Amino acid sequence: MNWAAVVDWTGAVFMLLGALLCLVAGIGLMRLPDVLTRMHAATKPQALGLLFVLGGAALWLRTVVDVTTLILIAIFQLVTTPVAAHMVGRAGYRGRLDRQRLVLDELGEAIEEAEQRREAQRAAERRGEAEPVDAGGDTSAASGEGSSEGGGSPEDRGPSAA
Amino acid sequence: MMLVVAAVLIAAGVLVAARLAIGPSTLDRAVALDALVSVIMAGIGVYTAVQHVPFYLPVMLVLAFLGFTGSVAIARFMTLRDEAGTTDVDESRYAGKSADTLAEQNVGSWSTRPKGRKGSDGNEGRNGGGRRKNR
Repeated sequence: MNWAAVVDWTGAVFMLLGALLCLVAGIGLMRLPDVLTRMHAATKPQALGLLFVLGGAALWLRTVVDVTTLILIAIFQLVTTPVAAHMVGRAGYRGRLDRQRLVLDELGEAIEEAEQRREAQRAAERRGEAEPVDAGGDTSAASGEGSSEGGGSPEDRGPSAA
Repeated sequence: MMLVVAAVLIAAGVLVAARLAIGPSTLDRAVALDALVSVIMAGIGVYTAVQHVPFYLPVMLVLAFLGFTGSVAIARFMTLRDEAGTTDVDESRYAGKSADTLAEQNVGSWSTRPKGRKGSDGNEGRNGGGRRKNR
């Protein structure tokens, strides 16, 4: 058994593993109940499965140009996939989500705290009738966001930016 | 061996496409579309390796580079539409005001703000903060 046959069989095993991860994604997408859990299943072939397939293809092609292209593909995939997952996950959390089924909901606690702090701030303003000075906020929309919140607004925006 | 790999990939593609078809919400379809793109990329990789033709590698490059834009656009659209819903707007604050005042306030919070209206400035500040929270 020479060297090329070993490399070819290794590449074939890699591609089979990648295809099996794709199959796992398909089964998970069909069986899991929720957007977030389906994301968990769908990210398997996006990172590891595609890396397996690209490694197998690189072991089969074995030229410098092709392997370089495959490495570029892997890098781009690893860079762009978390962006999409982040956006979809945030939209899924904000949308119709059964909060009771979540095991851990740190973002929900943070949002709740921010809501309570904002309500307290609002109540204090209403009680004291202390009109907050809108310092210099004249034209842009961004200048009006935090000036009337007093000191509480940076902490309010902090957890909700996640 | 490669026939087995192709069969597994086709089965995975069929399952993912089924979720793409029956997914109850739009975000399910976005997730399934991402998974389908990666399955297609895996298929192109296997085809390239088996046939030893590197002509489709640029296609994989473009898919890896631009495949995420669709689901990002969908997610952004869904977030904006939720934001325009009823959960975020504090309507009780506007009770008893005329429509002209409301229109002025809405315009003023995004473009030039009317000068010398301190009360409405405070309202718009809070409104802007609350709207920013859910983005």
